[in-house]
Amino acid sequence: MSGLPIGAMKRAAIDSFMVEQGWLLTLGGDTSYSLWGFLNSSYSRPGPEGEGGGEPDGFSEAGGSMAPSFDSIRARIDAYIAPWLAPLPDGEDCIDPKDNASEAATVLGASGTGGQVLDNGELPRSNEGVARFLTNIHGSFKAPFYDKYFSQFSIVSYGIGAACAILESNYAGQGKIWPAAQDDVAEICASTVAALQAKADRAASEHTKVALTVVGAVAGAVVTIASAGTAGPAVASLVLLSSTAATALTVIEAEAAISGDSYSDILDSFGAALESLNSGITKQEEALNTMMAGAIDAIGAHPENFNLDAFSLPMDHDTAITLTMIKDDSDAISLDMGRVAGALGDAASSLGSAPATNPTPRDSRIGVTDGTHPTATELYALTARCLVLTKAEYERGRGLFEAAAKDFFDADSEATALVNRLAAAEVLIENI
Amino acid sequence: MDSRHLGPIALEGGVGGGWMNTTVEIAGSSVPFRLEIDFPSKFDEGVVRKIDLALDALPDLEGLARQTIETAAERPGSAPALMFELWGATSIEEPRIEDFLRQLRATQITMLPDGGPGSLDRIVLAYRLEHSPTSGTATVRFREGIGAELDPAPRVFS
Repeated sequence: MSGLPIGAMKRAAIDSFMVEQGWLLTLGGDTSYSLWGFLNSSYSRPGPEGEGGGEPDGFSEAGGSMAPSFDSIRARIDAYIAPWLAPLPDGEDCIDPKDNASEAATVLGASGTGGQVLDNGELPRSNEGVARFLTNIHGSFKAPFYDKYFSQFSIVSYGIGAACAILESNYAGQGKIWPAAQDDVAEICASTVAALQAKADRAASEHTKVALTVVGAVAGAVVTIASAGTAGPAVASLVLLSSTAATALTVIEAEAAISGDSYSDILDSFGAALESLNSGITKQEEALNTMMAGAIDAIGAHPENFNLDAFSLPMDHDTAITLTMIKDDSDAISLDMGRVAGALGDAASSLGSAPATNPTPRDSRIGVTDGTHPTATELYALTARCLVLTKAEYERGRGLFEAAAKDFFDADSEATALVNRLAAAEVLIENI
Repeated sequence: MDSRHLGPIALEGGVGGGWMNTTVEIAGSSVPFRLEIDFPSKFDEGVVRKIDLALDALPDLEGLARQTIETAAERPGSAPALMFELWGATSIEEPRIEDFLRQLRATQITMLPDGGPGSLDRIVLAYRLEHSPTSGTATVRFREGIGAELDPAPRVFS
């Protein structure tokens, strides 16, 4: 980060170090230090970037250079600031994945960032339509079909929606961490330079508190996810994970302090303030990872709530598939199922896939190693796969329904055979 | 501990403050010199080095002190101006500043190398007239972070 006042900090620290030993800026100038400010033997002062200095001038004794002491002060500051200089990300690369996850969540009736939940989108409405028309239908196939392709499907689509909302939440949080962290590093450096300069001027310097904006920024971005399907077990577990994360993020310590009676104590507090910032970031990333890992576990524990293919049609293989209906109703169901499948396709194409590389790359000493990228990528892949498998299974169900309807209306052996073939295929489960 | 200029330093006094009285050479004459140490428990090689560096610079500082007095002598109301007036009153011929200055002698030098921010005097030089010691004193203090300062004339002058 080229904007950080590291050079000024180095010079102020060295000025302070010299003043503590009685070597003041030579009166009337600012390029050398003399004993008490007025004796005529002096040491050169570092330049404005804190470089050089320490060379003796005018000593009648055999004087050594102060450069090694200056070098070790400079090295100390370099060591503290090094991880933060490798450019910090600015969170811009989180915008696309956040928006992608958000769009998919919206289709599926969920929201990750406190936005309004749409329970009147295309998918829920058409899904309700299927349910409504199914009430007019009778036969052995009706109840199992309703159970899987409406009741369980509702749970699954809201479940996947909630998973998308969690992904959205992660990218929203990551997007906020880094611009705030950049500001916080700048603030910590500015406070340190001011404290060192005050010490070198022998002015009163107060104990300065630095508020770490990174905490408030992320706490504001990561909230409990919302879903129109809150009552379902899949969604409830994910909502709980997100509210736990949101709570954890609000209690992270948000303050650092710069102070000290000597330049060395001030530098210690500088190092400690950066550590505090690092610790805050790490805890935030841990909270996000915990949330997403929990979602991954929830999907693994109950795949039938996130992947329609993992839920078996509650029907005996031996029972003949029979349906009685009027054509208006079966046409309507077929159309609405087509809309639902289309909406699932929209959700899948909106979601896309996880970013190929970490959208918030940073020095490995800051935050969690690789941030939340590995866990987010895993959840992303899992969610996308659930969506793909669910859509495929739903389309299989639609095909089976249409075949059963055709069988009812045409009542020929070919239609019956088709129904049986599709029924056999429908039973198969593809795992996530 | 040994000073290059003063030899072995032995402080009188106690933990609250120590001193050593000796002499230093200025322009061939011996001048009384007093070293005052505010923090005897922290008296170390570093402090001795500062004493020696200051004594290395003493000829220059002494010259600077005289310059300070010379400049002030032309300012009515200053201590050197009053000294010059008193001295001039006893002289037969027209008093001249150059003669006055030639008569000034450093009569006491005090060094306080470890005073800290609350006590900024580091080197104090007191000057009197060689042949009329009752004409008063001009004192120049070299203060940390400030440089040379001349003491004002005393209010009551008799």
